[in-house]
Amino acid sequence: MSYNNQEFPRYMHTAGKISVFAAVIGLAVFLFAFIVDVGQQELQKVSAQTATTSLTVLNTPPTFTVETYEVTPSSTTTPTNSSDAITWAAIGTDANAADYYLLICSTNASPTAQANNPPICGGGIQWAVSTATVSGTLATVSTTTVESADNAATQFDESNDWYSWVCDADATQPACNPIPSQGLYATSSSPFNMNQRPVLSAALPAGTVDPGGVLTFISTSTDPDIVDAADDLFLVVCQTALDYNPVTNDCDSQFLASTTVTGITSDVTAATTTAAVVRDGVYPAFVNLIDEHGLEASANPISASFTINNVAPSVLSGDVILNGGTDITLTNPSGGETTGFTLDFTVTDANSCQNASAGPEIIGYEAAVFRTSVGTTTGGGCNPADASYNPNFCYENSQATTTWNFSCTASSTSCTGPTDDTQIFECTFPLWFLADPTDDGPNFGDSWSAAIAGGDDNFATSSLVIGSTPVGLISAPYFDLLTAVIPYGALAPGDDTGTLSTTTTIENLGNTGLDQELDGSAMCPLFVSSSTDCSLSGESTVFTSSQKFSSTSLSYASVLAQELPTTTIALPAVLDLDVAETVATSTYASGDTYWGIAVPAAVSVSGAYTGRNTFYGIIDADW
Amino acid sequence: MNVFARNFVVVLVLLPVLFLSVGIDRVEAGFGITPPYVRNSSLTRNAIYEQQILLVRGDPISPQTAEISIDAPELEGWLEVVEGSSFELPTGIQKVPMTVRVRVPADAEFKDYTGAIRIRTVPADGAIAKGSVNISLGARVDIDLSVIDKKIEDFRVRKISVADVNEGSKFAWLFFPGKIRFDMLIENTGNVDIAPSEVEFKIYDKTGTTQLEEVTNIGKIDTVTPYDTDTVTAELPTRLPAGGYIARYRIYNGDELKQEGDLSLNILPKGTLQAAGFGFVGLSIAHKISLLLPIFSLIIVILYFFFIRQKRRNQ
Repeated sequence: MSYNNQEFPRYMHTAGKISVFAAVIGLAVFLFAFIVDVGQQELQKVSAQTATTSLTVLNTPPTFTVETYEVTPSSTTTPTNSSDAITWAAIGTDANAADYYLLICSTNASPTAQANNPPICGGGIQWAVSTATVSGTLATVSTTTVESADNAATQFDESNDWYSWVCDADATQPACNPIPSQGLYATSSSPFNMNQRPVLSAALPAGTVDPGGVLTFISTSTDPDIVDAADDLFLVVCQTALDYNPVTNDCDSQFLASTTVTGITSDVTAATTTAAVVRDGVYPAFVNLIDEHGLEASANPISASFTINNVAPSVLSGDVILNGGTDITLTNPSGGETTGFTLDFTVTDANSCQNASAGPEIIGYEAAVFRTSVGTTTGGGCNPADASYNPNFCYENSQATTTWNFSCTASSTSCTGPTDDTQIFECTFPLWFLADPTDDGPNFGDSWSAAIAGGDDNFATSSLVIGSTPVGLISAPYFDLLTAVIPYGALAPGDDTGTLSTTTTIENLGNTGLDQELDGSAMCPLFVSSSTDCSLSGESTVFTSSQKFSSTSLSYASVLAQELPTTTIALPAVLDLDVAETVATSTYASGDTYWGIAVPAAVSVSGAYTGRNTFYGIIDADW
Repeated sequence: MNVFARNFVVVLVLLPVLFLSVGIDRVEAGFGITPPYVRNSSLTRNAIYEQQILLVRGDPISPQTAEISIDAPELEGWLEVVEGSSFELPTGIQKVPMTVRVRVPADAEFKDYTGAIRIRTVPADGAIAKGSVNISLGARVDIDLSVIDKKIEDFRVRKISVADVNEGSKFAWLFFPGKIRFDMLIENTGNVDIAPSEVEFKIYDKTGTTQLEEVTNIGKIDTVTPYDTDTVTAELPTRLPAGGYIARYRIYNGDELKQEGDLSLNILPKGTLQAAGFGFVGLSIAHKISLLLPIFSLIIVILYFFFIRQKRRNQ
């Protein structure tokens, strides 16, 4: 069977019949159902319109307008230090415009709202409940964290969950919002973290320290926190107990040391380099332990006094100036000491030039002035430790001042206070006449130096330091004659003394070997000052050639006896006496000259004949 | 009385009193000179050299006269005693200086010269002990000179010292270092003007273990004339802050190290001392360039401007 377009009108007529029939049937079914199921009741009410109506509208709990949050976020990275308060805040709105309470509990057990009273937690710990707060305004509530160590009854753990509700205190149907809030943001939501105090059991300096050295404070310390990881620990060391400021976690003043490295979670240390100049002694120090969140240990501060060692002073070579840099010239030809030579030096002490009693720290010194090649080594050199004094080449101040009067004055303007480490000394000293010269003789080319060791009030001494600017010591051929005249005695014309028997003695009062040059004048009764006062006739003049001399006792006629040259006419005659350099201050080296004279037969004028001989002291060429 | 009889009386009666001594006291309490020489081995023609010699008496209780005689034929006309051939040694003065001056002629022969100067002391008042051989004390100054035709540049460092110094200061971006003044007492032992060629400081901390800075002198050091001794100053820059240091110094004469040693060096906070620091010369090269470059640029611009203007006028 197929569809026939030509039959379309008939088709439409049939469909219309079916549609109308279906619609009528549907309407009938609807009316039947309505009357049976609903319409009957409604009709019945209409039929009871005369009954009394009754309705109770229930209290609705407040709801969060702003969910609860930690005012100061408390998390593992920013925990709330124990003893600090943790504060929550939220805004609740009550449909009845009633006041509400913000309740913080440790569990999510439904709280119990109370009529006309704050709600209470349904279980666990009630961290806090606010006062009644006007609906729609901010409610804040806080609690102070307490460590178990501080209070055994505390319920604060390192990490603490919290749940919050907003409740009203409706007189008849108090209610809390059904679903608690734990905050919205990670750092300010549940849980809150309490940072526990680090534990400081002991603190002390690692040892004594020199000025300028590293001072280390060590501790026995731990941190009880374990969430995530133990806290880094730090020491802060102040000079007094009151210097530490818990707000800044630093010393307000008199800071000494602090831990500068991170990652140390136990037995933390702190180190500092002490000042270059510090007085020796015991210094107070107070150690404070804090963790990385700035929380101090309960034991803070622990006294940990440290000791600055006494160190020996030091002397620098350039700071030792002998005789102002000028050569030493001996100017006492009497066989004694020449005084007034200078030695200036600076002693440095890292313990300051001033001790804790405001007295001088640098009080002592060892000094030596010596011929440089002698040196200062012990057991042979010129060293005060050896008491090796020798007036020829070694002067050292272990001797009594009666032996060597080395006298020093500490400059009154040198030491300016506890932070000054230098003290200048200005000294004078004498040298004996026989001190070895360095410009002639066996020690030619040598020099004289000074060496200094500084000493402090604890009797610590530096090494003996030789100055870097040696000086020369100038030769000084000083001498004296034991006789003021040559006592020839009495002779008749034509006679001589037979031997060179009259002596003159030259004493060596200088620091060289000595020889002599000699000349003289003719002798005559009218002698005033020179040979020209005498007559050239032989009757009243004894010419210089009549006087003979030698270093030994010869016969007057000996060819080895030298005739005396005439002053101003001939050069003086050298007499090779070879007087050695005096080596002992109490015994002068000396040499004798033997004299003889002949009175020519032509002399006829009797009387006292006068003349003058000159003794020139010269350095012994063989010395 | 005949002649024989007269002579007999003279001999037997009168002559015995001849030459009798009158005492055995010391002449005086010592005498001498120092130094007993005039030496110079590096004289040049036309050079003038002076040597002071001290005449020293042990007990100058009476005045004496020093009589000078020069025995140096080759040095005739060169050598003089400035005080003259005779001068007094006064009472109470133990040391009397005498200056020997050497004037080397322009035509002096290059060779060694020797001689002597003798000094004889006699009582200034001419007092003598009658009937005695009086004794005078004297001394000899040895002359030992060499005239050479060679330049000798040498010196000896007799003393060194360093004054406290202000630390450097900053002005804008420029850092002016502190100025270390290092004084040296220099004896010129050569025959030409001379100064240390270089002074070097290595500055350490107080312990002397850590070197903090190494500097050399800036600018020229004054020279010392031949045969003279004088203090000269080397100026060295330091950029170290205030504090106490140890300076290890070295003084050079050309390549020769003449002296080295250690010194205390105190650098004080700026402004502590009324002493000028380094100016432009103390600046680092970078700072100098940073200062000079803009100035030179400005000068070039100005010159260029004038050049252009002149060129236009000429056109």
